[in-house]
Amino acid sequence: MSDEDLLEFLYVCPVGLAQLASDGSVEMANPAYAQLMNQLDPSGGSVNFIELIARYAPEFPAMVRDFTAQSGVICQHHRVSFGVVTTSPFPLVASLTMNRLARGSIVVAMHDISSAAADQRAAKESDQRFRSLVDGVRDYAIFTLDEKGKVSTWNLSAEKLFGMGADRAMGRDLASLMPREDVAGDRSRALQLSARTTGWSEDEGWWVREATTRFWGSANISAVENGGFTVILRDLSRRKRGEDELRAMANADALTGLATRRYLAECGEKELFLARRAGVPLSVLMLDADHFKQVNEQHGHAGGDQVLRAIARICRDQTRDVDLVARYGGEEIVVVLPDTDIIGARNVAERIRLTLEAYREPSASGVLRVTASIGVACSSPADADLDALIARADAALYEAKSRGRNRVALSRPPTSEPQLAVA
Amino acid sequence: MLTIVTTPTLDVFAPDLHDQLDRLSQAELDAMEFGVVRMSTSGKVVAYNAYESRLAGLSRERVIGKHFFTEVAPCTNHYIVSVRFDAPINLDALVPYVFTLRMRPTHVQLRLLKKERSTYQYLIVARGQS
Repeated sequence: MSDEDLLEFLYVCPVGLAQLASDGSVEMANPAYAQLMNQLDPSGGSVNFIELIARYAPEFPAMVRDFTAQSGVICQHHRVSFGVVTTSPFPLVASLTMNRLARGSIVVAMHDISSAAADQRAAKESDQRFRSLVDGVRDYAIFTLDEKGKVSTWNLSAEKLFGMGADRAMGRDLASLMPREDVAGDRSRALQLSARTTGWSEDEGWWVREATTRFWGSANISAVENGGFTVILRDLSRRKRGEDELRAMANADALTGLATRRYLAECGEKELFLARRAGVPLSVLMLDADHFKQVNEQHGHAGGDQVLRAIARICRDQTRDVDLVARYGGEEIVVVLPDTDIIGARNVAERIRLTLEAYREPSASGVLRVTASIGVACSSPADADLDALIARADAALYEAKSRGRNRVALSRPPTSEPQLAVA
Repeated sequence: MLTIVTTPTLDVFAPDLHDQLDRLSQAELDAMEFGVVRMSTSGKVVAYNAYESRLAGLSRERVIGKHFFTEVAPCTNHYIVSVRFDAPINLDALVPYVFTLRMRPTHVQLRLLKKERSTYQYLIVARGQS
């Protein structure tokens, strides 16, 4: 092996190699090293490696300084991002390994991993974009099954819909998400078989949420190349459907068709949990009809019921599909508004109040009319749970009543700091 | 090397350097006081002068016939240098560069020369100017 062989080898070596003096100045380097450095400093002016790297990775000089052993590996595959350099199509990223030799000099191996890093970043970005899309949708769950039909990915959308975290969902059969009577009928196996044969299959039916409640969903199952499946499931039960359907779900109040108080406790708590995790506000309205006793006295209980139904209808009409409207007690209605701050909630409350104020309905006993007072509260970290939030809305409602009724009052967020006594 | 050279060395910055180099033999190229890599338009090394051979530590025999940008100096195989030769236009560019000749980082000026109807293209390596 001649010196020339060795030289040629170093010239064509695709990894940047350099030997530094202990102060960081470059004693020897191969062309691949020079090419990398040239991208950072096209004038080629900087010959001190450590100073140059420190501009991009400030931890570097300390890392070298703190390496007190006489010899050994200072760093291995240390990733340094140099950002966009003029000469490269992607941000320059290099993997760096440094060895100190006993005589004090440092050997550097540097490898351009820009394109790999760019690929990684692009993959990560598209994954994040997709995830934010999937996690952001309401009333949809998107999850995958492996070739054995077991849940293999479970994201936030599925978590929301099934009220079940990935920890409990992963590895489950599709059948375990369906009601027992369907499992006996082999609904899940038929779906997967049909998807496998024809590419995809569709189904509308009951799904089980948290092992207790059910929701009516439409599913689209596609077979994917690795032998698994992608499931897109849409919750149809929370869409505003006719009163009959809601009543059939046994979660609806018979008189008004609104959700029951039990359903509110179940779903409202979950909405609060999801809102907190997503870092978005959630607001609650507590509405009470004013002087309802007089309505009953003037129009009888049938008239009172008619007015209650009108209040319920107006509350539903003035809110979004995602909002939960529940009958809380006699003439009290609670509305849960996800992704809504106190201002947004006040606007909804005001809209409901004004619509109610304008409400007129003829009846045998005269024109039916009503007004309502509404308390508004927006979630704060100090609220222990949904009940605490509802209690604040209730206190605001009390204030609205005491200030003369037919008005909206806002609850101030509770303070978690100890109250100071004023001397 | 006993060849008696009468050719005076050319000016590395001469505007018509390409034409002047085209007329020189290998022996005359050896008299130049800057590095000359004469390539075919596909990048194969046709002539490699003594100055460049001394600077890089590679003998002429080792380099002639090889593809310069991929087999001899892959560090120039990117769009500051090699890619500019790909375009089908006249090229005369001066590029400050750091070569690691015999592993010593060395400031050089590269002059890239390509002419539409010439059989050859050139990479000229001049020391210094930093």
